[in-house]
Amino acid sequence: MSSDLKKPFISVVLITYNDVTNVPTAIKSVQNQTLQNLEIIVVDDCSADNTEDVVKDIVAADERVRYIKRKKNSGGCGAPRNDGIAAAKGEYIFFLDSDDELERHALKNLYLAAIRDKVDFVMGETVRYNLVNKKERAWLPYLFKEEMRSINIIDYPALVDDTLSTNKLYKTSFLIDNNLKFVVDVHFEDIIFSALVFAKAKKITILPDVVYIWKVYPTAERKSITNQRDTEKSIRDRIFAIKQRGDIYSNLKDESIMSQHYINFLKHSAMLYLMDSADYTDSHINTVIHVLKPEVQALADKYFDELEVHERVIYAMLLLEDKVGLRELAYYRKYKKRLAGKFINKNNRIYWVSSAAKSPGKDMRIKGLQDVTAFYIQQTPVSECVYLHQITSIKRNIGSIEITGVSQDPLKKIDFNRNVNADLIVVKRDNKIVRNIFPMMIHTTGQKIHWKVRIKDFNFSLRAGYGPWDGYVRLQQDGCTNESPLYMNTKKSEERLIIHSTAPLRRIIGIGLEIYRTVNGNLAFRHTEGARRRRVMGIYKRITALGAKFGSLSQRVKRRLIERYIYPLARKLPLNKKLIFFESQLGQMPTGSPKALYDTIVQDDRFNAYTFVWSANTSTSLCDRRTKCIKRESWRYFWVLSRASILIEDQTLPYYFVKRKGQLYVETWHGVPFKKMGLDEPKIQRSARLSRSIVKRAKAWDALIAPSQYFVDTFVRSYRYTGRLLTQGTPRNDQLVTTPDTLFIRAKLDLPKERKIVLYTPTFREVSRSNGGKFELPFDMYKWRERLGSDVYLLIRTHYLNQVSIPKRFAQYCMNVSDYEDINELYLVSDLMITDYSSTMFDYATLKRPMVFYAYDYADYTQSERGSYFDLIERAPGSVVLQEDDLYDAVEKSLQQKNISAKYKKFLKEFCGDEDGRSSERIVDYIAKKVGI
Amino acid sequence: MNSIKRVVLMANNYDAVGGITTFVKTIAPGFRDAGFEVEIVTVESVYEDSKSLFDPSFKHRTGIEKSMPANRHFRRLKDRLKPAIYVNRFIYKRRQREASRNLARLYKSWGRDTVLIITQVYGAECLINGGIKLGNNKGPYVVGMYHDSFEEAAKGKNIKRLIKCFMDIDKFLVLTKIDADLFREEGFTNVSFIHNPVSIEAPNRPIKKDNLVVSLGRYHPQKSLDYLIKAWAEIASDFPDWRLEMYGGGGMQAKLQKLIDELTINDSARLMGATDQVGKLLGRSSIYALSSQHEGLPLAIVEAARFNVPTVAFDCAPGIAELVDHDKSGIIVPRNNVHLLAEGLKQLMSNHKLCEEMGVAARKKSNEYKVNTIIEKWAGIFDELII
Repeated sequence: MSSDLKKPFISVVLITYNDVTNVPTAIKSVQNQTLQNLEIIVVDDCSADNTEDVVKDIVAADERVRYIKRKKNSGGCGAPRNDGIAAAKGEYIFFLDSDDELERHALKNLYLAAIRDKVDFVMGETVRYNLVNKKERAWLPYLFKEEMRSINIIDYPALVDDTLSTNKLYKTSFLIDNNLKFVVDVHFEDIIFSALVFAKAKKITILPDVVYIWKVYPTAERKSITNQRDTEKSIRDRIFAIKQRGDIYSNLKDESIMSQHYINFLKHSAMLYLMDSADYTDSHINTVIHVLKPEVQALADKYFDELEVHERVIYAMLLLEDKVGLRELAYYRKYKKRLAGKFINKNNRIYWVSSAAKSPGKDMRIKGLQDVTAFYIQQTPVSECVYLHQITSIKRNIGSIEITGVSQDPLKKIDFNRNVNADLIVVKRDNKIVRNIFPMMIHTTGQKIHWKVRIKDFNFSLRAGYGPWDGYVRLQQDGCTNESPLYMNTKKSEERLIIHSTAPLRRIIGIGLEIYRTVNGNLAFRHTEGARRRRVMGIYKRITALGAKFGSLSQRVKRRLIERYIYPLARKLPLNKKLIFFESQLGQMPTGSPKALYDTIVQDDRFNAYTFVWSANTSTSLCDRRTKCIKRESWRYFWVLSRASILIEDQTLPYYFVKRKGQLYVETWHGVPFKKMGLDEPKIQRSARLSRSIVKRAKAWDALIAPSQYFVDTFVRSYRYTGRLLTQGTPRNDQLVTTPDTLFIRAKLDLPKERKIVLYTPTFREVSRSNGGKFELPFDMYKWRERLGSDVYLLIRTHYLNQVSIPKRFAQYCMNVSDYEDINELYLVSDLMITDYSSTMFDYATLKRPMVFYAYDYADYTQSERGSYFDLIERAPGSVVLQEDDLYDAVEKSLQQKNISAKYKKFLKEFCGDEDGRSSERIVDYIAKKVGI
Repeated sequence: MNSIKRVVLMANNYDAVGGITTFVKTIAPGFRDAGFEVEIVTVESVYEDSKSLFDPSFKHRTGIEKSMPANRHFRRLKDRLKPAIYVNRFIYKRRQREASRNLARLYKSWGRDTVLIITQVYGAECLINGGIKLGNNKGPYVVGMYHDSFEEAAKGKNIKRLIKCFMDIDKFLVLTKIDADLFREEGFTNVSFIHNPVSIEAPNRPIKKDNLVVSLGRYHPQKSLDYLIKAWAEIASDFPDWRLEMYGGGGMQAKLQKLIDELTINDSARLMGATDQVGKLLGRSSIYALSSQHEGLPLAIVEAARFNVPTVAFDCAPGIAELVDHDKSGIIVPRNNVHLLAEGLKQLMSNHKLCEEMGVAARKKSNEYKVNTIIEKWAGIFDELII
């Protein structure tokens, strides 16, 4: 039975105009669909190229394809699609543009859902596929998070945002019976068509699967009709289409749909044109203002209330016709929150005005839109602000490049009349430790700051890798630092500026760095293209890849050599009786109890003749005449381990460490255990090898700091430790007891004076690949901002093995302090701590301040194999909340508490032990006595 | 519109012990009885040895009539100095190339009247190595299967292999709805789920049950029988006439025996070793216990249910909730909670009537897994393939 006697399930209407290169690809993607019973109708809008010949060949080979050529070009997508609807024989219709493609399973998934749910149309997700960098990005992903069956737009008003006609499978009879056609002679006909189908459909289904691949071509190559925003006609057409949409939806008489319609206009459609002001000409912006202002003026106030604060100010600028203001706000919104303009204080309210204006607008409505008091922008800490550093010129001299620019400081956080340290820092993007620093010259005129920097002798190390470098301006004053990128506008980026390497070999090969503008408008450097350089880099990359393959091998060989031969030999040498070794957090940062002991020892006269070695790979501030820093597991590391007479550390040394006779090994440990440890852990119990290593490790300790009986019952027992216990408090908590005032910490972090500080310290969490390996905040920052934002400033410190990133839009409510060196300072400056199962709860309790326990994954946690030593809900010294909504209540209530509860006191007594601030002294006395001084 | 005449089942080999081989051996007769021509293709097989295992009603073919050498990985630094491993690697690469070529040739001989069911992703990798592009409308319809949970795939390398091989084929089948949803979130637009069939049949006459709790888990850390033993220790003294018998085999036998000795429950808890009389064993058991850390879709629960045996299990995989209706056909307890596992066992051991009722409910639920029912589901999938 031949298939054209049977009615096709789906008619795919493929429209094309002068696109012969892409038409075959689009048709192939339909022929390759898993659903085979379909027909393809190619509607050619009277192309002038040889589309007809190419398609007719395809028609001859596949009986499912038909070709229709229009007699006259219609200038848009509407008329060809209408022709397709009229010619369709299939039960369902799908539209495809000739420069896009379908996902292989799209039609089958849509079709099966349509006949299962018996709906008017089924829609799926669209992805934008960038042909240049081969990256995919979902379009309106929030609408396609999960499958929704048989719903209506009244159930889900957010659907107003979906203005595409090509991601939907329509029942043909639905379109024909309701006379649903595309409007001709107007661009953006999709907006009108989708409003029509949503309004008329009784029931639809949404699938979370990708169905349509919308290809994005490089801008020089082609500009589709709707991407050419330059002409006035384009703006007017879009406004017309949106107005039509408004009329169509108003028939549904549903307030949330109309609200969604207007807000979508303000937040997306109109905003798109206003944001162009950052990069387009003045005359273009004039056109935009001219067209949009009357439309915006006519809208009711209530729709503006739903916008973000900065979006409201943008509309204030539109109504004031302030082009400078629009440009400056475009820098903020489009380019990562760079702040420009002025803040004016009037009658206890704060208004934002552009650099060109002197005061807020006179009109009540406009003034209201400029009111940013509730934004608390003044309360953003200096380190979280993003300054607008605009490059005004880049000059190439012999041997160097000179960049000049101008910056603004609208929040007046830095006093440029005093001493300010300004540098240009060029950082390797993927390896942030590699940096080049160039000092800057600055001078202020009125509100603006002018700077100049000269780049010469740029040392870009090839060993650091092949990737790009980013430029930042670093401003330092009074211990506060701000690093913000430089802004380069599009015109500057058209010239090519190259820095050649100073090394002669690289000059011959032709390796240089080129200055370019990133997508976000920042200044960056990348390697120049060039045939000779490419060949050499190719060889270089292959060598480094080979090297990497052997790298891990060589690491193992190195370790084996050290373990078997070098370290045992070094142990035969005499001990250095005046050398003390410190390590903390596996050699990451000098913190914790070892650091506290170090601070005490350094000032103690008895240890005057001693030298110290820290195993830390970051800090240079510690190194001086008597102290050196070395990297963990380097060659020197073993040298020191084999010869130091006193070892102080807080977690563990490499597994092949062997203690020598005469060495004093003081173990401070880094926390009080909540989760089961040592031989109580099932994973370790099951493995004889791990059990043996745990016990061996503990045998090496000469003294262990045990702050409380609980610690003895849990940790000491689980490690089967039988040596000396030091029960005189915990050195790292001394600072908590002895530090009188905390204002200097607030000033250092530049935290807002009016708010309470809350510190959140979640414990280590496994991260999923899909999230990019980042820790996800278990509460919604928007909700936090709403409930607590104005009263509380949040500091977030994840476990040192996790990473989190906080979007800059929350900078005035929240800061990531995971890299802050001294956690005690964070404890001291905070009024309340939120944690879950982290051992920070025991340290913070010393301060007797309120705590809230947000155990959102309590069920998983208690079910995990490892288990804990006590039940959190039973013994916690603060409220334990399991749901996000309860969190805000608990924080509010706990902040108002004056005294600690009886449960808290019990917790302190049982788990934490007494701290009187002199524990370091006592332990140093013990060490001195043991060593005999 | 074509109709499907032939079903080809592809697996890695025919002699391995495990769920995949059982699946192939169970489902093949089902397809045959439904009227399809059935072929079984393996990537490797030691032909002469396995020939005795072949069922003559199916065509058996293989990619290469030898087995892939096993000892070919560099696990320790010392291994790099062993020439035997280098030799094995060389042999493996050569054999894989030949297998890929042969499989590709086989693939090209099938047309649109054939469905190729690839039960293990390695087979797909061999086809791709042999030059076949799996996602097109020529050649046979291709259905891929993955017999473990999404969580397990995401932990290791398997998710990448599945993405590479199975995203463009006609259908990708996993074991449970929850896993299917997780794969869909990951980007698979062709995923669905289907249960595996159980062919073991209980006799129709009433079965006499002993006071016996049985486990068929291997002696392996994944099956973590130590939790079951600890739970048993809590209640053994209350039920002196009940026994716990653990059948299986594996490396942890000595450790588990030591644990039993330490807890002094030797007279009631016993490690019985391997058995091939699963039917008779389940026939006389009262309760089936499962204390694993993670599972895919443990069909042992269904096999037990065919014999009216309810299950007490840890909630260690989405499959458990699909197989057992809590409080109706068995008891599900939070994973790694020894005390609740003991309570669950106690509840059934002390109430004979409840145990029987649950057994009947379990049996009724297990009808979903009969070969005929599963074949009907496959027929539905075939119908969707050919539209």
